[in-house]
Amino acid sequence: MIKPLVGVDRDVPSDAAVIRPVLSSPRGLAFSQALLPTYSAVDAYHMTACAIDEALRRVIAVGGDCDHVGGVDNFCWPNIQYHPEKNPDGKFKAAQLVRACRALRDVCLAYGIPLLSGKDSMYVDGNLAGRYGISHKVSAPETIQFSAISRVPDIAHCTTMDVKVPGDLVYLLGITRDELGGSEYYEHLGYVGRQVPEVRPEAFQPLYRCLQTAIADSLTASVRGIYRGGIAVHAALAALAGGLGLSLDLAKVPLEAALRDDKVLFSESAGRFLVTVASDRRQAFEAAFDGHAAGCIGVVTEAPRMVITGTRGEPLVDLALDDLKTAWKAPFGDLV
Amino acid sequence: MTGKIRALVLTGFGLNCDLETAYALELAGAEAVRVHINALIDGDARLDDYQILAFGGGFSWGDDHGAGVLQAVRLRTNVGDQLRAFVESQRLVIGICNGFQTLVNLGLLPGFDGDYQTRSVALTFNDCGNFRDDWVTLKIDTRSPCVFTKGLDVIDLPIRHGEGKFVTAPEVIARLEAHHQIAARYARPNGAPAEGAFPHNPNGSLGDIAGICDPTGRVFGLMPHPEGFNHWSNHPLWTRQAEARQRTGQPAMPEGPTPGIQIFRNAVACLRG
Repeated sequence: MIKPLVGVDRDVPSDAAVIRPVLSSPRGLAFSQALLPTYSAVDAYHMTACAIDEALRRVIAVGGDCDHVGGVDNFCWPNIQYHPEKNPDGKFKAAQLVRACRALRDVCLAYGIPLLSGKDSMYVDGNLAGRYGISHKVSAPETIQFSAISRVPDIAHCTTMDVKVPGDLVYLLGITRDELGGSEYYEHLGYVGRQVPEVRPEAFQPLYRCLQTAIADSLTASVRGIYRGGIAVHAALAALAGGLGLSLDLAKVPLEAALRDDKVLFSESAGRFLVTVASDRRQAFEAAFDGHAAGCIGVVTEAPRMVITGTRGEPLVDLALDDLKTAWKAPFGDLV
Repeated sequence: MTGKIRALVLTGFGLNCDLETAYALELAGAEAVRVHINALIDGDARLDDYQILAFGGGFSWGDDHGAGVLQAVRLRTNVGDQLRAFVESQRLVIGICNGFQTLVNLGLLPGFDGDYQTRSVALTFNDCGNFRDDWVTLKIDTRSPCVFTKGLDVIDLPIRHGEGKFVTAPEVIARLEAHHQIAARYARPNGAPAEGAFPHNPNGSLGDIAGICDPTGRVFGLMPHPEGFNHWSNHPLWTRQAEARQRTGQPAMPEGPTPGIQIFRNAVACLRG
């Protein structure tokens, strides 16, 4: 019902897939996955918490049910046995494993996600040949791949992430914070950072429930979670999928505290969604999100351009969608 | 014909679309029974008891020796006479994807001059070099005798195949064209001919050929999967269409059957007469 690739050209990854296993039933099953290994360079607790939160947001984005979500945890871990020469940081890796398990407990209990199954791939280590006949011990970053499955009560209410109609309003739900530790942006610049995104289930969950109701009430035209890469990346993907432009104003983004423009664009704070809404549903939508962090940050445009204004009103980004798509697809070469 | 129209949907040996195909036939008003190929060969099931025979999609015998080749050999060797008697008794046969490949290997298509044994067309490896899972637009030949495509013009259906390139000699194509046996061709989204352009023509088929029928129009084979469009939400753009419909005060999903189900309804309607 919702395929892994969506949009007018059927080439942008959906938040989650939806299947209808019983052909004669209107019910569906949403399925998603999340993987954030770079966060473990800061703390495997938050790596795990963010993976759970992302997988949950992914199924909610397509029309899943917060109260019927199951999870599967797949551990991909390096050897945790300490050895002074062969594995000198083994104790740290073991501590990261403990931290990850604590996050699984804390976040799954808070969100009410039973863990249906899981798999452990330990000893993800290897020795790679070096240039001068030496060998390098390489250990995988401590990683959890988290999968979520959710019931969809009626597939007729499913949404996709592609923006649909020019003139629709663009809302950012959830709070953007100075959380770029382990982010894609820092990775491009050669940094790790320290302020890794944190999951606040008690604060996030009411917003998720509110969005679930808004989707079921057909108030939303498109829904996209904000994941790795931040607002800039996921807004661009929603625009590319819809074949329509976006005009966004960073001054309207709900922030915890004043933040530099580049941090607003690329922060990977958890708990956020990008939603488009028909202008005649504005009142109903804003009433539904009264009391929640929800900022109307822009509009869907006919012109196929990504235009972003900075927090002080100065032009920041003005790019053609074609150029964005070419850049985005380049790493795939001729594979697809 | 009175009573229920009974449809036999083959299963087994790597076929994997039988549940969906049977469901589509049921939606179209037929009574569909999934029958294992061996049950037909052993005589536990007889073609005489059915009015529609569906060769469905999948990877029969793992596509060994070419897609559909072994299924065709196995059926021709064991129930070839029953199959020909079925076709000659004015009943309906549909071959979808792997089923289409089987029909051409059996020689049930193109069926020139009542010859249902000669292989004269082939479905071979896609020009793009790999398996494709996508949706295509088809232009239906509205003058075709094909009973399955009656009333249809431009429709979207899913494809899932690695060997869908239709190849044959130029004189065979000319003959297929002359008798309007090319019931469905790959087209651009607006219905204009694909003219071989990828991905509209997804496999490099000569003449954009997606499906052909026999001269009577009662045997039909096609690479796209009509049973895969059994619900409006199967379409890749349905959320966009639903949003547009709702903004003009219409329900999210249209009334009436999908084009995929209409193909099976046409078959049932033809048999009801």
